[in-house]
Amino acid sequence: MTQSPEPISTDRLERLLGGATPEGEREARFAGVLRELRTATPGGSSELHERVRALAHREATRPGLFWHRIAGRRVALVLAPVALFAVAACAAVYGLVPRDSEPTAVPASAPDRSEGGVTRRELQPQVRSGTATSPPLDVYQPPVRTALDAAKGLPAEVPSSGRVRDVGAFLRLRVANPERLSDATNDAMRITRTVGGYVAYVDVDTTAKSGRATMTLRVPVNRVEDAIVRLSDLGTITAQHSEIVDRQVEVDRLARRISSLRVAVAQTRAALLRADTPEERARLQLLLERQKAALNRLTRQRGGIVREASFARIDLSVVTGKAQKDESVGPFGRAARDALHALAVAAAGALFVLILLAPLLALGALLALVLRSRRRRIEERLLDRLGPSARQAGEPAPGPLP
Amino acid sequence: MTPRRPSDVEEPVNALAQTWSRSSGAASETPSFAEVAEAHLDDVHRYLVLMTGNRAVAEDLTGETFERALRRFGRYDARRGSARSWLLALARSAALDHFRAEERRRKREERFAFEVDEHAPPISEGFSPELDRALKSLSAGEREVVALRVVLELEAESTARLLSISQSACTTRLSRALQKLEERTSRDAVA
Repeated sequence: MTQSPEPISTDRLERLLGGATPEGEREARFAGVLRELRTATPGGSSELHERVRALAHREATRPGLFWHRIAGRRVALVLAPVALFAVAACAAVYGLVPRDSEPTAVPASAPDRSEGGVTRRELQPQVRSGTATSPPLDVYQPPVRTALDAAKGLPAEVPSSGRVRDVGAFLRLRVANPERLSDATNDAMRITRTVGGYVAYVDVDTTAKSGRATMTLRVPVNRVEDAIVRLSDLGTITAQHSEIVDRQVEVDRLARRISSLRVAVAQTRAALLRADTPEERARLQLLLERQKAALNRLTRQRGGIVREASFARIDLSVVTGKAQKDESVGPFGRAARDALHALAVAAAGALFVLILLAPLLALGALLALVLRSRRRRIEERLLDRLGPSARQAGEPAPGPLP
Repeated sequence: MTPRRPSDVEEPVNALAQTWSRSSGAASETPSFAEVAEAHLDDVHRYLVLMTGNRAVAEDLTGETFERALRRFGRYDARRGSARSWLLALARSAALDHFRAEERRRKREERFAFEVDEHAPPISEGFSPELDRALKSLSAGEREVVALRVVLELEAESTARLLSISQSACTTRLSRALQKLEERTSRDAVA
């Protein structure tokens, strides 16, 4: 068996493929093989050409061919900016559509609600020239245009209803700096005393740059409106809340019990005078003392409620801070801000979904790579197996593949 | 000015190709399917002839290749690669599908041996008997790389991309295949 000759280097092979002049007999044979391959490998038969032409012609004349030519990638390139534009348009519409940022007008007297014997009347906000008054405590409200508007949140019938009610108000003011905070605190206490009230609690906390003061003021209920108006002038109102709790039912209940006890005390006294035995006298004496104690307790309790209700409670909070930038923002600015907010929410949502899907996408990409590599190996093994093995002279026929 | 016609394309074929080009609204940048088919049909056929080693199978697979090409022509982007490379990739896919089907069929028939049918028709009438036998002794993978690099004169980089192998692996495969061809043709010639 003759040894295989030295293989032709790949560089030389490339040059021969490119048409370089062969050197030596072996390269000449090589070049001959290349020439024969190039010239003798047949192209398609005329029948094949006809078949393909007919195919092209049939498809060219078919209606709706335009949609066939729209590739997936091209569709994506068109749809992507359309989708972005649609998102931006939705955000703009969201920003421009007026929302319920201002309270709706409701009657000043809201229906009473009874809770455990205590009747509550929650103050409803009233609309005055687009200014909200008396909103819930946890809702930010823009600054009130006039202090009088804030006080108008309280129902006018409070001072003259004759019923026992707890009146409460919360007011948060903003002042420019700690010095102004100190002045506002002192002024608030002075106003309270001026209207005949008293300061129940004060807590002031300031640093070089900021500060906060919290006060509980008790003012006569018939001066609460006046007090709120004057307190509101001490700074810029940033939040407010009012509440009225009707205590009349409770007072009436106490009064009934007091009356009953008085009758019982009188009856016990009369029975004590008629008592025959020392034991009975002792028993009646004990009963009388318990009844008197209960009468005193209920009388004090009722008196306390009435006294409490005669003074309204104002919780005043004064803080330092800069004015909000959007205080003077017009409708376009608000629309732009809301639209940007909507876009930011959408972007945050998309990022959230992307982060959630990122591991899955990474796994998917890895799996795709593995499958592609496996498919390539299978194809190469297939191509290596296929193709007849020629039986050379003297060589046995190849057996079946395992 | 009349465009220069390739010497190996017959006159009626060219005229028909131009007719189809005009009727399908040939754009200056994106050729029509008819133009692409006419220009590269022979190359695809040559490739499949050498890869399968069987002219009849090659002819069927060529038709199938162009049917697939027509269905996917909308997704073809001329900026991503030449039409010839794209068609050759489709042809390769068609050939691999055929080989896989053939292998499954042979396994079902419990015939695992791939034996040369010495009475099988030659791959090409133009090949010498020695070259024909030598080609048939190569594996399909070796004939494939010979078809692409030698017959169709595809560049090494394009061939490697089509075969999804590295350029060096492609060159090595080609070198091995051509060495075998050269050895076997010279041995047969001596014999």
